[in-house]
Amino acid sequence: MTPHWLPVLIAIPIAGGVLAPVFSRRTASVWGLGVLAATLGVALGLTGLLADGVISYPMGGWPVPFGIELRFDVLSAFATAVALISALAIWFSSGSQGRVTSPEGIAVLLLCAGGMVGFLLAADYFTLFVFLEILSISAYGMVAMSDERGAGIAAFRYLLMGAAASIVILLSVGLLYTLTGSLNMGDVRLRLPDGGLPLYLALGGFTAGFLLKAAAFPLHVWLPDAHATAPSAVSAILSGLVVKMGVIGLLRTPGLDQLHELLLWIGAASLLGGALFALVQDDLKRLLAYSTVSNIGLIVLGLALHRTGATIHILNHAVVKAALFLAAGAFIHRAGSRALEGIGRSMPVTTAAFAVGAMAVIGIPPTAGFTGKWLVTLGALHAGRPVFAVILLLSSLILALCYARFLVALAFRPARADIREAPVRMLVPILLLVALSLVLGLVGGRLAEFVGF
Amino acid sequence: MKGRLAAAFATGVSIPMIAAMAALPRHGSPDQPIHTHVARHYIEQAPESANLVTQVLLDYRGMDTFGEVVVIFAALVAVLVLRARGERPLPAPSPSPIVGFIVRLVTPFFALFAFHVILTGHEAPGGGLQGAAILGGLVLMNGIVFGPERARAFLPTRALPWLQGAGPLAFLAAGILGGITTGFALGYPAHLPVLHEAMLVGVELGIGIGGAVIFSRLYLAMEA
Amino acid sequence: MSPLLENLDYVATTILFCIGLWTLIADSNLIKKVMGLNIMETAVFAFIVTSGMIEGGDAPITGPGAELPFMSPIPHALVLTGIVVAVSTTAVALALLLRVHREHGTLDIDELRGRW
Repeated sequence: MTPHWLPVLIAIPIAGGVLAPVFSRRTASVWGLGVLAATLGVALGLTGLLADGVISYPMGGWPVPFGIELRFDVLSAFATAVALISALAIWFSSGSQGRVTSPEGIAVLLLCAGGMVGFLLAADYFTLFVFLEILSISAYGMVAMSDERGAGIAAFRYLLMGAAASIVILLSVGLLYTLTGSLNMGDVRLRLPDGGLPLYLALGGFTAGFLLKAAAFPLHVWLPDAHATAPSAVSAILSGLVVKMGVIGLLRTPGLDQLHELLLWIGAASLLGGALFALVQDDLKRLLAYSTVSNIGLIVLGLALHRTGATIHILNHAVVKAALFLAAGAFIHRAGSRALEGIGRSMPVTTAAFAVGAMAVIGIPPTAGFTGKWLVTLGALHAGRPVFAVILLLSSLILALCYARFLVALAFRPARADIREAPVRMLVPILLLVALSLVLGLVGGRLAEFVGF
Repeated sequence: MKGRLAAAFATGVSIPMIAAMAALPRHGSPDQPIHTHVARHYIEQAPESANLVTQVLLDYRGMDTFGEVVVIFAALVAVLVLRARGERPLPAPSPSPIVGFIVRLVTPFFALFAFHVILTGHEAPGGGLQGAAILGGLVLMNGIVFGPERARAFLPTRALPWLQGAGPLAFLAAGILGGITTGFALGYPAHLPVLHEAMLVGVELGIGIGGAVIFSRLYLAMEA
Repeated sequence: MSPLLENLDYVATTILFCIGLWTLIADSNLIKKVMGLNIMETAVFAFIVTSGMIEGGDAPITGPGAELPFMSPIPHALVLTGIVVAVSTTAVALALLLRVHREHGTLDIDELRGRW
């Protein structure tokens, strides 16, 4: 009976998204929250059953490799984070008059979540591509939900680069199909030739495409504008979830081990480059965006050095960065502009939550960010490449400096009397995510056991 | 300068790509993996009279086609959400009488042909999206010649939120029906030929009508 | 025959792909960039659909008059899906460009300097 929940898990958010335009502006948010709560329930249930092994489902009853296979494995368990963070983002913006909570906006958010869930469950390269497109097209639309001047250009740049990445990924799928005659992931792995130019071209295409989608340095140029101009609830989804799909796509690529050296250097460049760019930003959301580039670098580095560490960091960074972007959104909502000096004293709870989130991004021990960074550092030392451990530490120091500078500006300038604490609908999602990040930090060892690559 | 750099980059990319393409299994020969693995099975198992492309689309790889109709739906809601608020539509053009007459004349025949393409798609060349493109083109043609108001008249206002989702909704219904009758979501019951046929036609109609509504609304959203 | 000539169809799609890539990078008009994207997409579709070709093969539609060997039906189905995806991306791109034009009054990168 269990495997039948796999298509249900994909169908719930997508059906919710398709039906969302039927609702009115007032009821659409409630509908979105309900749909995502159901998704979260099913995803949690399936994650609990993972201890008995990977769950596989043949669509239409066609045996593998003739039909499309869905698989629920450790990476698919990220669907829980997808449902949770999307739901909190909707809660965060409920009651506002922006485009996010219009029925069409809720539809886009739900379709993006559905696309991500399908992407996580697909065990077929072409299905992977189709769901990648669902989530990418929704993501382009989500950036453009901002009324800010320049959001159109930011979204268009994101679209150009994202679409180019998709084309390259589709070309690679075509090459794999020409080489093996199959599209099923397991079957392709079995039938793949040992080498040869076409295989390397396919591998290179997957790597380039997914690294672009993940915004690894130097392919990150679209990210800062897109993530900084989008509405804050959307930034939380984009930075927390959507860029992670690129990295998870890389983990699904056959023959990733052959790219060991490349991943090391791109990861290191991204780690350091993202942190250095973050240092010179004056705008909070741009700082957070560059910090995402740096953390993607850590994950890419981890793909080469310590897969378990990388996978854990995918989850932890999703939770933490979503909390930070939502807190930034609360600041901007109350300040009415991007000028945030001195706002910390007027909004102590949000500021405290932001500080805890910042510690987690930097990787200070009891918080969630620590586990992944620690495991990847150990991986670098085990592999006999201490230089990457040094780069990792250095980038963490730079990030610490960035966040400290910003927190000082928030808290130690004259308070602004006209500003009150953030409203409850914003505060609760932020506090929930921060609490979750603390819990994830405490159970880091268990998490590593669960992932266990 | 920038043009030359870009040309150099494109040429640089093309060389390894061409080398890799030349090393692929020989193009057109029947003994390469493409023809000897999954595709051979599909062709050997093919029914008496069927369009195998549509069969692959709806049956073996139905999940992809479901994803595809969700993709155009996502594009529609993305365009709707970023549409500017409170813009006045352009004034209707005044068509030349000859063009107007011809468009009016061919409209019913186009519609008939579109439904023929949709309904016979599983046995002959055609299918849901091909029909949707014809129907959508029909609405666009009327919109371009007579103005967006005329195109809007083709779409029933009240049922619109349901009709634009017809593709995904038809797939969901077929998926559930298939789950009940065959035990697998998106399965098609071979032992119940009437239901099997009805499900195929229902999904094709859903894709066709839903797709046509989406194409028309995309056009109207950009026109306004 | 050299492999380059045997796989001439594949090589041709690659050249088309690179023309699209060049347009995407070099042209300063945003609509032409979208066209470059479309050319790249077309090239990839052409590559996938030709890969299902068989010399002397028939269209994969069974019934009276159909003769083996058939072309592989899978690439046809994949490309049909791919075309719809490409159409959707183009639709969103054009809608975004409408907004960019409304906000800035131009679609040329050189005039959008500083914002691009």
